[in-house]
Amino acid sequence: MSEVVPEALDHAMSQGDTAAVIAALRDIPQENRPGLAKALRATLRVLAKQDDPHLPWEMKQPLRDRERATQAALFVCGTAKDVADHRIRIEDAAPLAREFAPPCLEGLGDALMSGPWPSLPYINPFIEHGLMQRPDSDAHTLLMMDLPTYAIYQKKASLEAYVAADPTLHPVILRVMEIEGTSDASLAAIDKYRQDAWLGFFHSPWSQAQFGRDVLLDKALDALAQDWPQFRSGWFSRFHERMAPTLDELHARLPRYLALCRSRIPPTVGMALKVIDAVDANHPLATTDLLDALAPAMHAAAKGHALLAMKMIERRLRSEPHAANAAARLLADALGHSDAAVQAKAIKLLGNLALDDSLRDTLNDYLAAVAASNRVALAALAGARPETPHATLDVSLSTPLLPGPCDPSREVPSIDDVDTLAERIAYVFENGTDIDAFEAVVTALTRMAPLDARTRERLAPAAKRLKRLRKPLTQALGQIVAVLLDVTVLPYERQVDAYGEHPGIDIDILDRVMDTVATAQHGAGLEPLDAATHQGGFIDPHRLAMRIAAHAAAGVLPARRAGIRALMRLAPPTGSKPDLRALPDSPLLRAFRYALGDTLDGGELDMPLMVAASRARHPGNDDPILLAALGDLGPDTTRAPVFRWHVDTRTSASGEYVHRRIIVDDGFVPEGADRLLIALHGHQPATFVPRYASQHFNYAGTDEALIRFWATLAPGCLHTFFAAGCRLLGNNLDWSEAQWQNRAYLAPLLEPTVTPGPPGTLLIALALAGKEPGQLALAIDALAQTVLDARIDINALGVDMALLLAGEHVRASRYAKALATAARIAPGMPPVIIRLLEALVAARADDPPRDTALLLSLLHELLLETGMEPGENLRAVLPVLKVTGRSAALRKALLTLRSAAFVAAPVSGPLNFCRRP
Amino acid sequence: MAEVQHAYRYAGASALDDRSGPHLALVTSATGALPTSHFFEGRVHQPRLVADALTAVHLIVGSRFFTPPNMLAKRIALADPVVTSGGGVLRFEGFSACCSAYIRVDLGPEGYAGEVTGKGTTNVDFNAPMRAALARVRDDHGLGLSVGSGELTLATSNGSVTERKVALPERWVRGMLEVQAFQAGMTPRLEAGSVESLRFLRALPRASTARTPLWIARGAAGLITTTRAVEGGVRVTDSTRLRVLEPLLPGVRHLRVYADPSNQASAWVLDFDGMRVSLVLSAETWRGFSGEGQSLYALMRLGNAGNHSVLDRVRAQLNWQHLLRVDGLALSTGLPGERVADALHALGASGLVGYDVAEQGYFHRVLPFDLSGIEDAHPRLAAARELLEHAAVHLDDGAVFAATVDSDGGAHRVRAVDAEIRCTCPWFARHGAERGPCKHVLAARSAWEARA
Repeated sequence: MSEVVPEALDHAMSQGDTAAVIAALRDIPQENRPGLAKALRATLRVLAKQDDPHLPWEMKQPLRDRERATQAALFVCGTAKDVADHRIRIEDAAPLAREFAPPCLEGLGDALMSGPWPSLPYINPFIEHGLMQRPDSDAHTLLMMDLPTYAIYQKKASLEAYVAADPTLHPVILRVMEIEGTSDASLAAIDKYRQDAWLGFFHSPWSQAQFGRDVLLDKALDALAQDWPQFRSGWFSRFHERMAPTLDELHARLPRYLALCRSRIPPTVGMALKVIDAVDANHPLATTDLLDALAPAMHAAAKGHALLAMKMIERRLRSEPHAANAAARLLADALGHSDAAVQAKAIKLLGNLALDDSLRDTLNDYLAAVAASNRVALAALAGARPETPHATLDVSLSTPLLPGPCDPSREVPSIDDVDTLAERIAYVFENGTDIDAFEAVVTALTRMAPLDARTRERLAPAAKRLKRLRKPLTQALGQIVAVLLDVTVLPYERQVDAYGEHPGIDIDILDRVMDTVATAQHGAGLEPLDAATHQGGFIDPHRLAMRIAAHAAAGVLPARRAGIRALMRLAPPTGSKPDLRALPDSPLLRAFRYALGDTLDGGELDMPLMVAASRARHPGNDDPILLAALGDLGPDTTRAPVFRWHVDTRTSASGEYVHRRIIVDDGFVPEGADRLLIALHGHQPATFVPRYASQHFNYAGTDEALIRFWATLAPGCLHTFFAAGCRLLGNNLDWSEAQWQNRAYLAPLLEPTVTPGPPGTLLIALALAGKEPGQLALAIDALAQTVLDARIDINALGVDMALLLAGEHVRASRYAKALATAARIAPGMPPVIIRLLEALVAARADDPPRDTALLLSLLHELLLETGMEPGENLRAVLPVLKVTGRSAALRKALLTLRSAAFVAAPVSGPLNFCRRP
Repeated sequence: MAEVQHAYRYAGASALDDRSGPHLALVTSATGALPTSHFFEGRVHQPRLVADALTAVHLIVGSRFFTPPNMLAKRIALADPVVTSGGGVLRFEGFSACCSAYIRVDLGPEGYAGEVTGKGTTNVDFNAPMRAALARVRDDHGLGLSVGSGELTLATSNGSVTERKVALPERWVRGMLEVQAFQAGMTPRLEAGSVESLRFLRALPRASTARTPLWIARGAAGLITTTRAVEGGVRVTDSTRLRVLEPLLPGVRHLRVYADPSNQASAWVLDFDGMRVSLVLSAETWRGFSGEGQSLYALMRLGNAGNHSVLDRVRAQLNWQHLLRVDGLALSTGLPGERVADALHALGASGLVGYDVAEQGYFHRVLPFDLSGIEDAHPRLAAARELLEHAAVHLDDGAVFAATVDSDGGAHRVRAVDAEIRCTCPWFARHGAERGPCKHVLAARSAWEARA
């Protein structure tokens, strides 16, 4: 039964006087207290609503006091669930428990563990004060993972000291080694930020004495046998290493280590192999046991595992030559390894053995699979005749026939019926990144306006959808649809990036929406001047001429901004130019003529229109005529942007940290520039001051659709667009921030109508060194496509890649991996990749970057596979390359390729290479 | 989240024991009145391979390739694998916790020497100690295998049955059903040998590429990946799901990759002597297989007048066959092939048959879950039927398929354009035909076929 809170208690709670609350509780008979719980909960709910997050902490103290007092009362009167739902301080709970022995103590442990705050700092004090038993459950074990943090910050003690002092922990602490944990709560995750607290604890003399070395080692092996993900398993391999088991301890557990050789987790396999190596060296294993354990290592991804396994086989063969047959079968498996050095080792060891016919057949089967550098040796073993000169990769390069921007295959399909319009509007609402579809819909809507009743009926579902549009470009389309359907126009939500900035492209989009709506509202069946007719944002000059004529016939003056945008998108005319003679003279028409190549007629120039025409006439280049007539108005106006870049390197005062970032400069917007010079908007204003070191001017923001849209604003020359991509991608190569939208800067490079130019080339050079695999895959595709289309200057790409590598902004290992993949994508790629590798090897000959061996290895293999000759530059650099070890061996191998005579093979296309006979 | 309550009733735990040599004793869950299901006693010809294959099943069952942002950190224990014995083939099926990967190991008569003692489907206990023990299996030591226990063994052991209850998310159960329909539409796209397969898998990104689908195709020098759609290629997101196949590839005869016509799901089939391992991946890790409408057309047609007995007649033919083909069933039932195909689709969606993509045929098995509690097994189908009941479909006059469907306070147009059926609803706009038909298309097609 629910009781009314006695006045004394109520008054004490309202005053925030916990001592008075306790005194009042003493006067309430025990049997009456549970009845007060409901009212006390209600009071706490009211107090929670009074909490104002904007008030400073010190002003909230009276409220906190009232909450504390009420919580104390609820602790005495309520249930275990009440304690779990409302955080009560242990300083209050402990004495209250002793005095009142309240009913909440029953089931308190379960309630706290399943309550909303199952955290160690909240629950542990209850255990320490004896208010609940320490649970022995997976959930509690997960909490225990964070004991190092609790010990350090709550108890101001080391983990070892804290655990040693709490006997309730002793029976359960080992459980943390029995469960995998989560991404935040695992031994590995905690130790990453707590200086290996758990490693130190379990390795400590106290732990070893408390639990015994045998138990600790067995727990570690039990965990490793579970094959948990590598990050979590890795803790146990490191722990095993720190425990440094003796030979006897290892030998006693030998079957377990043999089984761990089959683990999916490479560090576990590595640990197991080292153990077996150590044991075998002192207490030789049975040969069948040894070979069975080593079998998976022959296929291991980690090169070191395969090499270690072969070392053990070699040692065994010295003492037991009769194991040769079984060992040979394992060594043959190693030929399937992707690393040439592993294959070479296997071949060398096989060369010492007598091989039967069956094994020779097996070796023969591997001939096509091994690296080119190993084929001759393997063929000799197999008794086969290797193909010479190992020209296994097709290096033919055909001259492509690329479609132009206005090729019929690239036309944006026209939408001519209302059903298709309804479908496409629905499609664009759900797929905002398809800019071509967006343009088709905008064109059709404008042309069909005013919308008749049947069309409105068909588009009613689209109208219903307007409220749910969240992305900027879909909202822009939504505004057009709303106006034409006479429904409420919802606001366009401007993006805000991580630095609190709005991207400038929003304004340009809203301008376009206004101009499009204005055209539609004329109701003359007009198409917007600036809507794309072909993919990528291009406008066919013939179609633009038709649109201008239609506007003139309808007596509609086109919006100046629309004319500017249309000229920016103008494609070069293919075949005959449009006949403009019948069109009435206007500033737009004069600019249009100029864009198509006419001379200036000496009349008044509309500056923004002429500048837009200039970009269509001279994409990527200066316009000498307008420079003379109008002067330098900034980048992408009467002149092209001047593109420069460098790597800025800063070292911390201690010298421990080095930070590199790429600085890309393509010119600033001059102060006072005319707002109608739309192409300038993509450039950084001179007044822009970054508030953070990592902040860049970002015209298109972080929405992928808007970035893709930007690429269509001036599709004839994307240099400024690519320069922005260089800044953003190039300073996030290690993926320290997930910027999925940046792949939109790479996407246009796949199109046959796009010339990368210097900024696009640098963008590819940067993206090939990226860590994120999806973005890297896109970069590789961009490289391949621009090469196969003959749209990229390979020499310039090589120079950029070499500079980046020399400046240590990128890693050789990533370039090696990317180029290895690119070499296999299509015929004709290998010679290009070879050229790039040669440039990279020469990047810093006097101090080659780390992992140069990977580049040399790939270069060597590709030269062998293609039968090509090293280039002039490489021949000059190799002798002075300061390398040792494997790199030196590879250099020697490359130098020996010089000696063969070669025949120059004529090849069409931009590349010239020499082929050995 | 709706759940399907399920209980395992095991008389012990599966383990690798030593009875005159290593022996893998798999414990099956009791079904009905029987204390256990006993399917097989014998030995396998390739112990190491079988151990690796069963380990792969266990790994997939315990894997979660996608964790929803609001999910609790603790792992959810889901269903144990399912074992089916029929036609001399033992099949072990598993489904990942995230519903994005399905795996099946098929052990045929060439892979074992022994006696198939029973037919049926039930759960089989796989546990971590068993898996750890499987790592110690060696070819030269041989491996016995028992699936379930004979009465004698039960009589002599402490055969008390322990019941363990789990709550299976409905999404998980639906995915297990739907993955069969996906496979039914798949065709072979790529093939590779052992070395090429292993190298290719190793070269795939080690981090998830869930945001950037990759296409796998045959390039100038072997299998390649690209971000561009390739005719005849296979689309994959998050290739980390394929890592479970790595230990198996060195011994494989060949790897064949299949894909469905809309390039969503893919099946990776490893062929060994006497054994096959099939791994089916969903289009996206976050999407799983549930909610895909592959069977909807078939189910819709079966509900139409004149087709009501089709399902029963085909179902009557089921008798634990390891291979069921449309033409064979059409002959035995006298039904048209298209109706038999529909019925098999429906039976797959009900958990009564599975699909073997390598054999391009079905097999009889009964998933041991109580599906009666799933009220909306196919919400789109139910919604389509509701539209028909409310006469919301208005077919256009004429020979070309087109209709207006009143729905959601408006009217959507459904029509055929260039052999594709389109709708103006947001669902179709978002997914196209990749996930089966929307409710409007289903309803309109049904009305059209009824009129025809």
